[in-house]
Amino acid sequence: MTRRAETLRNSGTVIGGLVILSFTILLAISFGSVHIPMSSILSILAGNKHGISESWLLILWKIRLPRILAAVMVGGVLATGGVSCQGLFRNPLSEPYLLGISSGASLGATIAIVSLSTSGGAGLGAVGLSALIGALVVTTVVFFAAGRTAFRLPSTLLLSGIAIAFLCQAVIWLLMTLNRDQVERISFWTLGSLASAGWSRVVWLAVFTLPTTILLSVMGHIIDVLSTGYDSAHGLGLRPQRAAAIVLGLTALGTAAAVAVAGSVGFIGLMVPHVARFMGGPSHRPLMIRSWIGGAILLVLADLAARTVNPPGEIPVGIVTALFGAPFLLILARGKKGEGRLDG
Amino acid sequence: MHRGVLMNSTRNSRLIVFLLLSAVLLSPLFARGTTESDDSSKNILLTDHYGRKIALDTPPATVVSLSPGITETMFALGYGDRLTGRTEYCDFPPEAARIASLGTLQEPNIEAIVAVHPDLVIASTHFPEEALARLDAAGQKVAVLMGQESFQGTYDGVIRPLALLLGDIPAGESLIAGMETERKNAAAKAAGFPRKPSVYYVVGFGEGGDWTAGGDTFIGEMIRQAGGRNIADDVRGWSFSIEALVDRDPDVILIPAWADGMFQTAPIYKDLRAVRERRVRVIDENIIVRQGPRLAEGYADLVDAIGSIF
Repeated sequence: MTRRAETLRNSGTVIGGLVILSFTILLAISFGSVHIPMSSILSILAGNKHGISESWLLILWKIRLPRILAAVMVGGVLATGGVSCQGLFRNPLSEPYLLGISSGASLGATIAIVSLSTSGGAGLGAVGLSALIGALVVTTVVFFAAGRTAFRLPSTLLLSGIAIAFLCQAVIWLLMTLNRDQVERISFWTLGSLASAGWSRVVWLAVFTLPTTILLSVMGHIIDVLSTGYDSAHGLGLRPQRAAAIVLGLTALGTAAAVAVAGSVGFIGLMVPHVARFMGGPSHRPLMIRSWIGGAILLVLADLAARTVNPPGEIPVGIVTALFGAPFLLILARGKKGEGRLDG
Repeated sequence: MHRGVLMNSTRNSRLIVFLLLSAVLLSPLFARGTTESDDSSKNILLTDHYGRKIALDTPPATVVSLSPGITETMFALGYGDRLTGRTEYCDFPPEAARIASLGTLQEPNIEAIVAVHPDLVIASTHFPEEALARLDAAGQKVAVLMGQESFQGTYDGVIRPLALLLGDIPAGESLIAGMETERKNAAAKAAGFPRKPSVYYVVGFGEGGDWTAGGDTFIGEMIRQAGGRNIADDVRGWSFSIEALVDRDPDVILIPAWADGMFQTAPIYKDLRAVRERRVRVIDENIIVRQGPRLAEGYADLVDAIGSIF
């Protein structure tokens, strides 16, 4: 394919993806655990509040819409995190969670839940903030534990991430054992949910995830070079150590912000990059953009399912993504057997 | 009877030793004596929740309770001093803290229980069958007491059989009579409500999603009996959503102690009518869900909380 044709194809995919994302968002706005008639939704969206009940306005503007936008950004950033990890580590099973981000966030959230219950007070944001700090601290520990060879030998970093994830889990279980009255809250948090994503969190997500996503896309060609191996990257005139550190730092920051808001929503970071690769070339910049759109669509749909399968109740969105993600990944892996594309 | 003697004889240590010795030596005689005067049976006989036959010559002098409800009932019946072990969860009455903890509800420490070697282990809800099998294998006598989730179930499944095992049926009946009085007073109050206030019961909220007690839960049933209309009556189980909560905007919101302050200040929740009108009440779930002597008190608390809007 010529370069021009590829660019055209990439733009086509992106535009198509954005159109699908827009429809998905509209679909997600139209349904929820509370049924609001389409005509009322359209008049609310058009700014016509006449004759619309207060609670519907509140539900649409303050609950459903921010939640959907949060799903867009969380899904998007988790997927791009998957792209950068899989590219950097040259490993199809990599995802940002392996860097200790989700276990660190869970540990941070657990500590906040446990300690705030005794001191009382403190807003809801404290748990999310503690999760963010936990994610960043644990990820830093993972990097340092992996030592100097971390970037040259990604397996060291992944191993260190897995070991420290186990350590975090052990501490979480210990805290759950010692604070049995909080076990439910901790498990609900860990399962992942977008239920509490109001506008303040949307702003927060936008501040953290959009710049990191854009920077990662801009750095796409650097990831291209890094994914050929560190020595060859060095040969191509790149300082691979520093480049990899920046890519991973951005990935960790974006993912940590997402996990702090939504909990450890699984499978998106692992799954979406494979799908996105399927729909276009392996070049990382367009791949990153396609993955962001794909992750956004997927999480909005998963959250829509989480909100509507069992009204007026909900199920944690992490259960939905895992339930559909796992078989999907298996099908994908089987379909590609022999092609070696999972490794590409 | 000889329990009273032991309790009043704490002044002189020699007297204690003497009485303990005589109690040990004479207890078989006492037992024989009491059963002879009671001509209906020589033993205490009970069929427990699992249909197991429990036969005792005398009321157990030492009991390990594997349920907070059983521990509370033991104390309420006046036999708290016979407890030689409890679970981590047995936090009421405060005196229970002095009894050694022998594990959790779901994971009782079998070795520790066998080491304490009580005359009887009494378990209730959440008691794993595997633990029962292991205690049986160790030759430990176990009774499992629980009833349907209702007042009647608590009376017939827990309080009456426990009183029977302790050889003090009157204590059980008087405890039940007291609870019935409290329940009837509360029920009369609930019946006098001018309308049924809508109620939302918070199990969890915020980050982890919204969780409540649905219409098919015991708490849901208690809310109904307490004169309230549970806005989650159509829910089976525990799952709810903030959209539905906003839509159904309840008159009263019941929250657990840990959520007090957090719930009322959380985004969206703080705008609920019940929060704005200060109709959020803390309810201790333990009192309601434990099959024990405080059930009537828990029910009365619910009636008061729901009636607080009038």
